[in-house]
Amino acid sequence: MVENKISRRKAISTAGKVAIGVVVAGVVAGAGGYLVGSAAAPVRTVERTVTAPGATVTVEKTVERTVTVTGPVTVTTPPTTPTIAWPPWKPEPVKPAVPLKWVHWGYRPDIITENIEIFMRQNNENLEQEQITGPDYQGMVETKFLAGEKFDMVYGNAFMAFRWIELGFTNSAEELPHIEWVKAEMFESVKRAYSDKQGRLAGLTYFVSATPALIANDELLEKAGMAGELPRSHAELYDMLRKIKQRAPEGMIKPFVPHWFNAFWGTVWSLLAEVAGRAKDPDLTKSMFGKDFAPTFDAAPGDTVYETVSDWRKLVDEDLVERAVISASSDTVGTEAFWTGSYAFGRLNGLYGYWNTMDPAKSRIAGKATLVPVVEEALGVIDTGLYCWPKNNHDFDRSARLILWFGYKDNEGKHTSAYKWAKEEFLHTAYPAVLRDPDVQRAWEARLGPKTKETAERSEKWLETMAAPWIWRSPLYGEWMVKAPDLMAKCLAQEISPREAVSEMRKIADELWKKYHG
Amino acid sequence: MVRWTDTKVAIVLLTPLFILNFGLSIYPMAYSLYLSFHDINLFLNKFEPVGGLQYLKLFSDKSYVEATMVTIRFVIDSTIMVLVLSISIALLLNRAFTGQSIMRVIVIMPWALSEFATATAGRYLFNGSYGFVNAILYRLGLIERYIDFLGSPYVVELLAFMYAWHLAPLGIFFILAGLQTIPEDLNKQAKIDGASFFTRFRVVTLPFIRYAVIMTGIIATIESARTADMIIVMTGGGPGTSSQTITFYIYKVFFRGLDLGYGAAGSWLLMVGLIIAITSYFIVISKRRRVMQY
Repeated sequence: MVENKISRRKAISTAGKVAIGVVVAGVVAGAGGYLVGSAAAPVRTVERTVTAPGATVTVEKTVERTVTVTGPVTVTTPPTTPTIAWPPWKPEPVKPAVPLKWVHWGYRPDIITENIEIFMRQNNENLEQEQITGPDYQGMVETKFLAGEKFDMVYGNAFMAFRWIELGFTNSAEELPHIEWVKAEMFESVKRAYSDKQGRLAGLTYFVSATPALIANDELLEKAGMAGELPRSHAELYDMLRKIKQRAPEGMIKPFVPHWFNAFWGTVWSLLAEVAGRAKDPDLTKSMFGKDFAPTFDAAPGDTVYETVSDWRKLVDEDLVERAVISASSDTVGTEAFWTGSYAFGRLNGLYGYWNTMDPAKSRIAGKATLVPVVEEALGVIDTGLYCWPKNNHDFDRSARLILWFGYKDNEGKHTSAYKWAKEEFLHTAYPAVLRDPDVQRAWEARLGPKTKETAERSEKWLETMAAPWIWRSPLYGEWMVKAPDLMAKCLAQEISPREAVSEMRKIADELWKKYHG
Repeated sequence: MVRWTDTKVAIVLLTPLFILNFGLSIYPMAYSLYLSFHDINLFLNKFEPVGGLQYLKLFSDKSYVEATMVTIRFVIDSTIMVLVLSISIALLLNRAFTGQSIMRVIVIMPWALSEFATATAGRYLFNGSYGFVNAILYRLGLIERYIDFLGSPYVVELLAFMYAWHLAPLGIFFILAGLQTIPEDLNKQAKIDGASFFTRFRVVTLPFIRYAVIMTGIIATIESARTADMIIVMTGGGPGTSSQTITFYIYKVFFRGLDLGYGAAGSWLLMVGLIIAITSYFIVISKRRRVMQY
């Protein structure tokens, strides 16, 4: 079995090399041809198929000018990316008795189950799922790893994925066959965000989003005499909140629903997002934790972390925010409050938060809300689900196929899983082609109506500019994110000052840095 | 032919229970005690015995001390509320009235709900933006604007109230059972002697329901000290850390921070506290019994 695996991978690698050889030869030949070719020549397509053990590679080149060259294949500029014959696997001849196992956190189990059925049908496979819900998902999954349980695919957040690779629980996605083709199709920002310390891709995309989405309530803004005005930075947002409070539009409870609930994806991610935007420091290495993971923030005027926490506290002191959020352990309280339509701006979980806001079955401001565009400052931090690949799997090849099928393409070469999530839940993916697909756009239009085009463009901009904290690659973060929310929560509940909160957060970060990197 | 003595039958019947109990309680508890004397870190590949260091660290951990104070307040509040609700509703249900059976079914319903569901209901009831309680008070003209109940200084009492609402039905039925053992004549005699309602309760009723009340108190103490769902769902320990109990804090340290040794030490310290509290209940009972015997 091991020998078989190696030979198959070797074969794929050989095929890759052959393909690259063909492309290089083609480019050289094409360049030569360009120099001697005729500009008036008709367009032609040349196709060549290279077969290597285990894989077939087809190279398609558009010939724009007739050339006379010698070489294995005739191509001209511009060179295009060769496409592989997909899938690089064959369905199982006999349905395996031992099922593969997928551990996930269970959002929309109906879509998951539907995808599982398609995967099994296309590959004559056997796949079981296990759902772990609740905020201790990471702990439960790590318990499984420690207990030596075999499973083949697991959802993970980016920081979990980095941690699991480091602990030797999961493979990086670099070991997947044809990973270079997968990477070639991804947003650059997502690829960077998914890469670990060594630059290896930690997993493939289940979804990628930016959080906390900043959404405006059009109706209340109009009542406040600010129709169509949207903030271009955090400072502008806070100024607008003050003006809105003064104008006291009818039906308003508070101007702002923040994303400050007591959980790591609440206050901590809000802080990461805002600091990255304000400091124009997408990986936060200048403003929070350096490349060596040493903390760089401080409780001093001019420090972006300190200024951000201080500004938040001012918003609380000036009674501009919905305080119920501070006494919540998840985003539900804030989200439901915003959907009542009694707040001018809200920060909701992920870009999908906007999608749900536009759902008339859930929200009173459906059709009357706008996703604030990224203009001067980035507004979000990456919020993602990755398909991670456990090392202790049932079968290397079968589990690799599973990850590629869900995280990239199915047997027919379609992004089946990503399409479905994008169409039904506005869950973005690492593959821009999916987001720009007319089918997906039509599905969005059914809910977003005339706001579809602007929202699609804006959400891509959010994804291109979102923060991807470098610190997520350190074990320091895992412990810091458990302690930091308490301090910020205390500060926002007016129990301690911003200076005390930031000093204490720094102190904890220093201790953790010594523990892990000192 | 095997001769089935009573002892053998008992062993056979108890063995599965013992295995289950060993696997699900005894072994995990013993292992967590073992963990509590270690410093464990997956990343640093560390599993070092550190003696009682984790316990010492707990005493200097401000968050743990604060969580202990919140826990004590929550346990006292909820135990008192459970007892008051249980006794008063049991006394009401003990009287004959039309629809008594239906009332008994309705009363037990909160106990049939999971703690999670109760907490979710609590979150909606007391929500500061669209909560049911706020809506009622506002419509009745009792408040001018909605109150952020879950962000108030009395958030622990609100949590205790919801917890008592969930647990009281159990106490009600314990106490109701005790009330039904009181001979009717005793109450009649006391009434003829001119005893007031409170005197009759103290002299006639209380001795009959004393053990049910104490059992309810013990259960309420243990259950409220170890609850985490109620806090997680209703407040997330907030505002700030005002409602963060030990169990919730340990849960965060153990499952989110994955500091296994420290989390285990924290839970053992909580257990010691609970053992002390429960032992005091039993000391009170046995003292009282001795006094009665003399």
